[in-house]
Amino acid sequence: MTVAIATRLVALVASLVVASILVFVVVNLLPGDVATVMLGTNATPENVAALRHSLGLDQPLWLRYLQWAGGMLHGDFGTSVLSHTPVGPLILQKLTVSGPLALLAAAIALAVSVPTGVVAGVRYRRLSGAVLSALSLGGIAIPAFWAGLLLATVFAVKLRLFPAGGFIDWTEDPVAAARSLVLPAVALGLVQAAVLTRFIRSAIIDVQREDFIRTARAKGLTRWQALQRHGFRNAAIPVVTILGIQITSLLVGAIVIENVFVLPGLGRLLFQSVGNRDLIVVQDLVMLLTAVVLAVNFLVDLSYRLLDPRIRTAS
Amino acid sequence: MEDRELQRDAGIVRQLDQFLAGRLSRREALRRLGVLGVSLPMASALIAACASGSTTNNQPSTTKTKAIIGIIQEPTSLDPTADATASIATCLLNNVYEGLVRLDGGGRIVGNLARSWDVSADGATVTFHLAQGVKWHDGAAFSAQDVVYSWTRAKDAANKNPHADYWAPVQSVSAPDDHTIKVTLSAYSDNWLFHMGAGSACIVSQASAANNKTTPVGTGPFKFSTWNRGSSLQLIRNDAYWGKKPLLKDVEFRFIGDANAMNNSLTAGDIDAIGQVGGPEQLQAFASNQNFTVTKGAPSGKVMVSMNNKSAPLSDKRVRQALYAAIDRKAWIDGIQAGYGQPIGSHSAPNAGEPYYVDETSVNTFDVSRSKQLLAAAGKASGLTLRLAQISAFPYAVRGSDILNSQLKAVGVTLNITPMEFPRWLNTVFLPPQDYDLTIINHVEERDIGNYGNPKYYWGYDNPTVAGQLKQADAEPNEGKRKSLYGEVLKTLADEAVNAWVYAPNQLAVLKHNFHGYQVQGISPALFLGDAYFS
Repeated sequence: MTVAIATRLVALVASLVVASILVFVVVNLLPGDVATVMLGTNATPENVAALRHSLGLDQPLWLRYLQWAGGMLHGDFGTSVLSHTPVGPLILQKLTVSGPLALLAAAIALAVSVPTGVVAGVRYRRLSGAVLSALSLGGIAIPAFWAGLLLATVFAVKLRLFPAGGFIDWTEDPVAAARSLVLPAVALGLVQAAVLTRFIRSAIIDVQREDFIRTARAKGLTRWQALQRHGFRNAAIPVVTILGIQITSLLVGAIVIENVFVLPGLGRLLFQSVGNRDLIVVQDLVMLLTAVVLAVNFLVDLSYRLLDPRIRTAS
Repeated sequence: MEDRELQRDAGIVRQLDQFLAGRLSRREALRRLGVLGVSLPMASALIAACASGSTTNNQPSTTKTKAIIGIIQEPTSLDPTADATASIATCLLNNVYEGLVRLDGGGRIVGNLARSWDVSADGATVTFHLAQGVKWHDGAAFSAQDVVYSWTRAKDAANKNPHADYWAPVQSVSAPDDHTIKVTLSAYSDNWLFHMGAGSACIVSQASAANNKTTPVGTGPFKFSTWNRGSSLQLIRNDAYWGKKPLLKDVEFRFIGDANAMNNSLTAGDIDAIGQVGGPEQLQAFASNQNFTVTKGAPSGKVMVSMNNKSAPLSDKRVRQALYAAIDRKAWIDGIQAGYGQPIGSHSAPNAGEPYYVDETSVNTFDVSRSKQLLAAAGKASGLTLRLAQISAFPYAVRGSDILNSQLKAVGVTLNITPMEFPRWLNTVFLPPQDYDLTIINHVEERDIGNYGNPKYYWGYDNPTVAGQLKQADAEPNEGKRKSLYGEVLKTLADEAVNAWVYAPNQLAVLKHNFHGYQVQGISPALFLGDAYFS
């Protein structure tokens, strides 16, 4: 068990190193650089070259990679070329928006999808199951930004229950901060719930066809009892995998929703920084998201062991 | 005679203002208008119109003193002397930072830190008389030495001012005393003083200049408070301001990139004004709603189809003229600007910022059959395929590409559209390799006609006569002569169809109905809020 976890950890670190190289190379391949953005339509080849030099952009790629990666190991995430603000604290500040938003959206997604998915799965041959299934299909078809626009029109513009956009910092007014996350979290959460419902439904349907469920029913358990004792845990494995993927996509996928609701989160920062070619910020953000994806996958792997004794004994 | 009429009109306006401000009763206003020779029914009608147009009372509110302005683009830093991004000046110029001069809403040069200036007879020496009692936001006293520091710093290429070229005509900047600045130019330059109203020419303090990117220190009516990146920029009133104290206590710029979100924010009451309008077609909802005012600024900027004059087939004047003749300007103005724009026919917009403006729209008119003839004459009767570099971040460029595509199709020209981000556009179209045929861009900088004298500029126009005329025009102190020189250039550019200039957009803003004194962005990118207030 410990050996298995240690192997996974080594793989995690190796993946991070490879990812950092890939991120750096790909980001630096983007055409156009920050020097031209700063000079705008007043750029001449000469003043661009001079500015690139003074920003250190003309140094070899490998040297810049080492400076960046070495800095990260010391907890120094660099300084934005444009705004002269250190990137580490900047990202932390954005996380206070994106983190709660992703968690709230995930909670909404789970709260909606688990009951609907289970009911739709258990009753998949009945009308109620079919209706829930159809609703979830509809939900998948709705893009989050459209749901967001709709929610904003109804609850912000018409009913004025929530702000249409913007974010007041937690330290300034925690209630207002929470209020401004409600609509975007619902928009994100409902769409994710639809996806999750489909997976839970099919996992439940599949598990009902398993031999061990038939055996349990033959012993005299009802369908529910059989599912409760033997079914849910088995159905959980594919669902946890999808949930892992979804949590990471909530963190990144909020870009569009953050634009709709004008939230100063990670997505907006990433979007702006790419547009301005503030590459150090882009690198740090993509690296952070990569690390989150890898870490979540690692945790999902671990959870398999808790959920399924067969995997535990196999290793 | 005319003068007297003007005076009378001014008198009427003054009386109406007094009435609106609540300082005059209706009866007294009627009497005073009568004295000015306005008939009683006319006067009543005027007063009624004013009273319904405003909300009976235009006096500044003492309770609502915070204005939240939605703008599309967030500043990339807070130092306009280090970065050409327009939104830096939008938020900070004239509000936080001040120059010796500034541009008013119409584009005229007015004094700011300089209360007046004298120009020597030969035009080569300009002496500025600075305001007294000016203090920096950090409490230090402002003096002429700060101007010397700022402008010497800006001129020096090592300091990477994005507009170091503005100081090219400057030979020396000196401070004979604490309140006087003497600038010696190599020769008179008409554009130089105009450019001194730009963000890159603002005056900074030596003590704080290094930190201006994050904590700006200026002399303006508002002080920097906080910058919440990705969200908002907050300013507070500078109570020690040397000039007219602003009526607002707090100003917040909120960055809202999405047009729908912007409209929702205003409708829901989260913001007080849309400072930059992304989709003018969405304005109809506000124009018909009494709670909002749609404000239109002077037409400024030049939306145009830039052409690569250097490489075939666009090096052939007939092909350029043919493309221009296929363009129906009205379709652009209606399709992109919902009608808020003015057609232009050369590289100049009709506003006071470009006083040399001449209407050249009659040179290249919309004429499909002429376009086809020109293409046939150039040997392109069988059709032509051109590449269009499209800046995908600019809505007007995206819509303009669609309109251009359909208009050119009518004359047998096919477009290959490549969408790209602005940085890529800068690095491939604007800077070498300058590999493109056509691109759509709004040249927002005023008085940028000098670029036609630079053969290396991205449209690759090389005409020594024009270059000579441009130099001569800038150095010509006589206004009439200067205007005629610029006029010749504008005519030549239109005749040669160097580019296809389409329209000058009106800058627009949507305000809450009780928000007044707001200067619509336009000739200067600055959104000056020193005169703004709520009633």
